[in-house]
Amino acid sequence: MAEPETGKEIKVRVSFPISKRGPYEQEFTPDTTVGIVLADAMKYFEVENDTQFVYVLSYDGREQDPATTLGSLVGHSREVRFTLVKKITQG
Amino acid sequence: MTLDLESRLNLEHDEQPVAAFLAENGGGLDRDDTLGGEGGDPAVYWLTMRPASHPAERYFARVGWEAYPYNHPSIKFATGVRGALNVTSAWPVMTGYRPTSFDICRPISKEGFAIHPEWAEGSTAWPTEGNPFLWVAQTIQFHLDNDYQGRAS
Repeated sequence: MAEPETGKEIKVRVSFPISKRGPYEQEFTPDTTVGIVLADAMKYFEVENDTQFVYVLSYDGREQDPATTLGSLVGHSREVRFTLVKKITQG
Repeated sequence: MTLDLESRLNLEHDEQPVAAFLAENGGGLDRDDTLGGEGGDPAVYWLTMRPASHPAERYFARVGWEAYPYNHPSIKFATGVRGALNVTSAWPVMTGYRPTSFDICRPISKEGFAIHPEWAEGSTAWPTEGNPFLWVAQTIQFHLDNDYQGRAS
C-alpha cells in the first residue's frame, strides 16, 4: 500500500441514492479516518443508525473499516468516492 | 405486470444510472420490453451481476415494478435473462437471500415486506426519495461484494 502524502487535501465524494440531497463533497487531510467522513456524511444526509440499520461507507465495492485513514486507502490519489450504504442488521 | 405512465417515465429517468452502475461492476441492465420477441414487459428489468470475489460467476436478478418509486419491487433470481425463476442454483448464498423460498428476506423487496409487514413503518419503510432503483441495485451488489458465500445448490 502506498504511503500517504501528508499535508495535501483529498477530495471526498459520498453518494447516497435514496436522498433528496445531491452527493456529499468535502476535502480532508490524508490522516482523516473513514469514520470521520462517515459521521459527517450521515449528518449531511440526515440519517442515523438504529436497531434495524447501520450505515457504512463502501469504496470500490468493499465496506470500509472506520479506523482506516483516507491516505492509506487512496495512496497518492487526491480524490476518493464512497457510497453510503444502509446496512441491514436483520433479515 | 401493468405499469402506469408516471411509473414508466420515472423508471426511464432512473434506469440510466442503474445501467452505468452495473456496467462499472461487470454487469448489465436489460428492460424486458427491449429484448425483442412477444410479451415484453416494461415493468420488468433484468440485472446481470457478479460478485467481485468471483468475477466468472453471473447472477440474473429479475426486478419487477408495480408503481415506481412508490412500491417495492419483486426481486427473483433467474437462470438467465428471461430464464427460469424456480431454480435454486440461480441464487447466491448471502444473508437474507433464501434460494429454497425464492425470496429475499430484506426490506428491499416485495417478498421481504410481505414476510415482515412491520417493515412498512419506521427506518425499514420503502424509500421513495432519490433513485430507489439504483439503491436496490447497489444494495444487492454490496451484498454480493461483502457477504457472498457461493452459489446455492
